[in-house]
Amino acid sequence: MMPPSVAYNETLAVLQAGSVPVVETSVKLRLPSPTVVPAAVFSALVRGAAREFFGRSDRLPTGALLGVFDDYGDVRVAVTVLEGDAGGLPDLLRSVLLQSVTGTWVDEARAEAARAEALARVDQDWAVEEAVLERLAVAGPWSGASGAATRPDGPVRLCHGVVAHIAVVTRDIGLVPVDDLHSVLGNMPDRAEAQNKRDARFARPGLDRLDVGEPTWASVGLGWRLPPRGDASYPAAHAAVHVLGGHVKSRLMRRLRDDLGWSYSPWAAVRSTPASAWCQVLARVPSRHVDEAVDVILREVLDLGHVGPRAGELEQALRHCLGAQRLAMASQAGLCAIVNHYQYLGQGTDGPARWARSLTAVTDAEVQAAAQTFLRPELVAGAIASGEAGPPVAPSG
Amino acid sequence: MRSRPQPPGQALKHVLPCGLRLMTDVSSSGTGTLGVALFVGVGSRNEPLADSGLAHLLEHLTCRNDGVADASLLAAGGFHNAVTQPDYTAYYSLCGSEALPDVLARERRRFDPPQMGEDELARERAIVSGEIGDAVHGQVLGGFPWFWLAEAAFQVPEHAHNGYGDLTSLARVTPSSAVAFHREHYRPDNSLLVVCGDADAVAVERAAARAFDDLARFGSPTLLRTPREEPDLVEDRTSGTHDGAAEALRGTAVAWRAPLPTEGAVFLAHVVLADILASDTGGVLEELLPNALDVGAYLGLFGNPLEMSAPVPWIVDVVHRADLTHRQILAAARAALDLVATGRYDRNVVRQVAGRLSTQLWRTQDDVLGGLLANGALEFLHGLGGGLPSIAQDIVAVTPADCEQAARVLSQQHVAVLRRCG
Repeated sequence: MMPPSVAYNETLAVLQAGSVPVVETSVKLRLPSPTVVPAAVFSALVRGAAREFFGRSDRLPTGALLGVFDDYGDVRVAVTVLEGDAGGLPDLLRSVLLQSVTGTWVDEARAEAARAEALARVDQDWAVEEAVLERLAVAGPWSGASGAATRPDGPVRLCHGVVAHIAVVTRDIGLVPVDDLHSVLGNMPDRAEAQNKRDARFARPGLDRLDVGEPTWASVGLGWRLPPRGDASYPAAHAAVHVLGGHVKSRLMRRLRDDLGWSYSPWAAVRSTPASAWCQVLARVPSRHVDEAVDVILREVLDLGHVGPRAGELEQALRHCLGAQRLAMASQAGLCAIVNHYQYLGQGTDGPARWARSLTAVTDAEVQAAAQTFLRPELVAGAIASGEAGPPVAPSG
Repeated sequence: MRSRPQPPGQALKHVLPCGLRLMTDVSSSGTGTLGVALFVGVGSRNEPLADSGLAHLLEHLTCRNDGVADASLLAAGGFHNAVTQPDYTAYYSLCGSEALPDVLARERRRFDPPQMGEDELARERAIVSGEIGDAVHGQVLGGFPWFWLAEAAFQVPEHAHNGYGDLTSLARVTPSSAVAFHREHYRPDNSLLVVCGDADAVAVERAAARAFDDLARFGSPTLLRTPREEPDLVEDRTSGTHDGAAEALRGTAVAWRAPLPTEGAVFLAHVVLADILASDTGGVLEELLPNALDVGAYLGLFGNPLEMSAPVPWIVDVVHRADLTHRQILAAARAALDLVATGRYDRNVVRQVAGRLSTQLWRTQDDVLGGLLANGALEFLHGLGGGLPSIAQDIVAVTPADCEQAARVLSQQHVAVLRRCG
């Protein structure tokens, strides 16, 4: 067994007192691979180890509440306690995390059980997300359900120092000042309709078909690599993805749900780790409409690069993106999670405000350029998951 | 850094001239965030049995053409959604304070008959079909156990039928039948408006009065229709199947009958008891089922005992493989209850579990959306609006003896068992 090597970078950010008597703490554990199944296996192991610790500790603060959340390349462990009993919280967290990384709980049998459970739960959405990530090559050496998940020692090694990395601790007992965010919300430029409309033609790429789930519904997953978060073009790329599918009136929602009635909740989102970023699109559609749905998505992407955002489209997307961040920080738990995430990305506690400023400065032309550069149909990685009777998706054009 | 914000204020309750009830639970927190919800007293228990899913479809139909409010919400980063429960439909928004007038105007329009042609109705049916596909079909054990549990646990048809939507019955809905159902139930005197978050109570009351001023005066609010009484089971019963592939995941759920929030300490003891059996950090039942993949115990079809009136199920659900049978799971659940009922468990765990639940309730109260829906349901169903902080304080007073008594009560009941295959 490899010795544990825990990278531990603690930052305590104590914010102001909140309106309810609880204290929130979050810790990020970073994985080298952002793929779905290994992250689920890893979080299952962390959850199990932490439960083990919680279950037998005789010195838990009153009301100690544990949460373990996996989100692609990282796992967040959150502990909440009632106010007045929070003095030992950092020590408690260290104990939980060390138990996760070095505890004897993590043996081959437990890892195998977690791996089997994660695989048994792979559904259509998971399957296409995993496939898209693998094709985007943002994954590490444990990528794919056929990688880490089938490697007997994979999950154990994940938990033993090679990859487990305690990135940051955020302690928060209150509400973050939101004035900085308020100040950037009211000063948005007007935007004109782009004039240089061109015919949106493209060659539909061939997409792999995964035999997962039932035949009448299919999950369509598409992905593109984006510049990393520190790149100057990252905000524009992020904005382009938000225009495409980041809110209820985004292009994908308007076309696939409102106009065609094919999909309940199609979306596009940016995923990022400290070192990489990518765009992910997911839509569940009737299997008989798979070809057309892929065409609709790619046509909207192509249009974004050829014509750029329509009048008001970028402004609406940016206002929503920034407003959603503000709303997410309105609770102590949400605030703690977000500040923790920004620290994890190396952005510091003022990361939300700085991100708001850089996003607000994005222009239509920059979004169009970002779409042309990063979201080209020929760069797409994609997969379709449906049951056996689902149709193949052939290349066209 | 600012000074500590004011704690949530006492919930204030009014009745607008049109008969619409209004509850405000606001304070000057400085977050600029508001939650707005309209609870309408129509749910799956109100729909004709031949039109299963009609209340849910109507929820969708009344959300069409929300353009102005949508734009206002989006600009503030907010969102809106709706949910159809057995006893009510709730439309809820999370928004910046500046969006309040547009959001209220939209909620006012819920009372207008939905305008639709056959094409629009067909498209919304397709979207409902997609929603059910997302939540249930094509997912491993999707919809377990809530999608089937009501049918398994209850005998009275209005409690037992599938209210999420049945595509066969929805195909029978016409624009005129949808409008007739709307006219019957979407009335201000059958509804509650709730506003939570960062705002001034007087300003909210004035804005609400303006927004709903043109509605006909229905007079005093009507009380919610009392659901038909669900008789106790006279024997255990089992439904569903595990006849899938050998390697497939299986789900087994067992349903008892839970008390209501209005029963105070007895209700809270049942809530604590559920977490003693199974929670995120282990439990008595989990120790008896070491081969199970996932063990849960909770109240209410969706794990929230505040959001439905009687009958409310008290549920154990287990995800497992073929090496466990539903009979073994039922036996383990009864053994776990017996251990608690007879005091043969670590009684210190009651303090820890009650503390954790208190923490969770405080977090719900602090989350604008969570507090909005929890306090709204408490008020709408039980007249206990704004009571979430009280529950958070009271639950830590639950004693081991209270939990043992709750376990004894459940041990004497017959149960319904649901079996599903992944």
